[in-house]
Amino acid sequence: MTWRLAALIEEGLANLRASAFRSMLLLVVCAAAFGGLAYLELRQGTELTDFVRDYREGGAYVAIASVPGGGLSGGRCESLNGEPGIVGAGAWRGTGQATFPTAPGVLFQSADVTPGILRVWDTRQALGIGTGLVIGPAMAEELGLRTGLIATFVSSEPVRVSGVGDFVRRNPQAARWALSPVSPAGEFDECWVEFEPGAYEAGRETLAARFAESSADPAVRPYRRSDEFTRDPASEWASRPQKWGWIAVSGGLFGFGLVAAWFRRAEAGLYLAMGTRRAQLALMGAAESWPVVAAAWCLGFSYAVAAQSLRFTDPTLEILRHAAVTSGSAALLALALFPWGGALVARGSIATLLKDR
Amino acid sequence: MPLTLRGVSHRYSPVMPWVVRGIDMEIADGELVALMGPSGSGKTTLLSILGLLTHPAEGAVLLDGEPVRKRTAAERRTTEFAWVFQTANALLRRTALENASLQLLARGAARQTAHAVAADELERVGVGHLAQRPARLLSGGELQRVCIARALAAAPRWILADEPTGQLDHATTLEVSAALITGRPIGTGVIIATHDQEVAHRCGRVIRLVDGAVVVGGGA
Repeated sequence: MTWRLAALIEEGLANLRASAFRSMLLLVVCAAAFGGLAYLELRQGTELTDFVRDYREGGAYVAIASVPGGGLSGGRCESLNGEPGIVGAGAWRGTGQATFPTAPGVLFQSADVTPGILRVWDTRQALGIGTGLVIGPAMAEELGLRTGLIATFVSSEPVRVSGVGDFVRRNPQAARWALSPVSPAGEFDECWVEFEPGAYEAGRETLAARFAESSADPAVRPYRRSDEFTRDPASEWASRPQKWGWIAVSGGLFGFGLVAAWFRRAEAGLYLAMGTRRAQLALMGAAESWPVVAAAWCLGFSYAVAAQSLRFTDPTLEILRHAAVTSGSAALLALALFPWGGALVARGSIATLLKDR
Repeated sequence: MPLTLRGVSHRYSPVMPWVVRGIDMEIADGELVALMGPSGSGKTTLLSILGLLTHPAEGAVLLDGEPVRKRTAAERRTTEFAWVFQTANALLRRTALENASLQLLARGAARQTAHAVAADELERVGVGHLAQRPARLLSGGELQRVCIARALAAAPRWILADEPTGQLDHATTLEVSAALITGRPIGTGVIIATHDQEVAHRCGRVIRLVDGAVVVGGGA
């Protein structure tokens, strides 16, 4: 003769309802802990994602091949497009300076470019590749030009502007350049190659060899130089302290649960005096704590996502998944630990428990 | 004899003095027993050994001639005993009715049945009108009656009461002890630790303890 399972669960739920303040306090503490953990994950994950995007847009995986005095094969450079690990490749060569009748005396750099370089220099838009001129934003502003208008050079034929590039991240000096897309045949000054992040180091090392057959002494340099102060987002993410925070959070919450159970040890003693077993006490504790912990996780996680989205940027699905796994692990461990608080506190003499008020 | 102590001695740790020493005692079904003695004489410890809350350091507790093991003590507590404590131990945030149903639920009764029986017992001890009131809002006497209703509702073989009137005034003492002693189910024994002579006089047998040893009334 002992408790029915349904009666034990009802008893736990009745204890939960009977002390609204205690339940709310537990809910708030758990929600703050789970939400805090999720927020840390979201915050750092989003910050690193933003950093990686900026880093990449800033040309972190761009290498430049050149030959002293020029003479790099444009065809070889363009042929890199479509190869595994390469995002884009293109070459350019300077063709001197140009002036316009609308801005007499103001010099602009003009250059021939192969089509691929526009993908490397301006990652945000697909610039049309045709016979038209692609100009930098500063030049467009100074001359009042925009896509579709005709640019008239002082000493050559008028040309239609086919695009205004935004080169500020990859090649800021090209802001005042007039770029004429040409066939890759012939020799160019530089070949710019953007690699996938994982292919960058190996690709950069072998890039010189790709031009060795057609060009003498090709040199390769990174667009952005890295040093010991350069951030490594992958290792930062791998060594983030909150990665194991779920253990600390659930441990802390269990400690809080133990303190709460300590103040209720006379109740535990009463149940034990009536023949309730400690395992049944744990089951009752599960019925009492699980709804609170589950609700707290939903509340805390939702709040963390909302806070991140409102204050900063929307997290990606990948970051959301990490935050859910980390805070969810804390919740699951708390679910497993919480029921045992009462049973742990109720170890020892029942008579002593009954005296503790 | 149904409830027997054989050579029972107990102390709470090896470095502490014996609280009860060498006690042999037999208690029959339905018997009314008063445990008396000065404070610190071991009444509460003896009562908790009788009620299987404390396993004695030495000696044995026998139920129907069978020694009670630690492993089976919880089940025997559920089926054989009910408690009324001096401090009226109850779930203070739960209603009087829920408190009175508790022992029945622990015995495997369905909640509806337990509530029906408990409601009757609350009526019998005079607090039926307080059934839905949270226990924390009851007076000491009312709460003690709820605890008595909890014990009576379970109709155990023995009710163990540890100074149940110790914190009550004289008039309430009489009412509470009457509810416990005269209101008990047929066949239920009551073992009551008390300082109150009037309560003791209502019992069929008085066991006196001094310094942890029985000086009067240990046998049946």
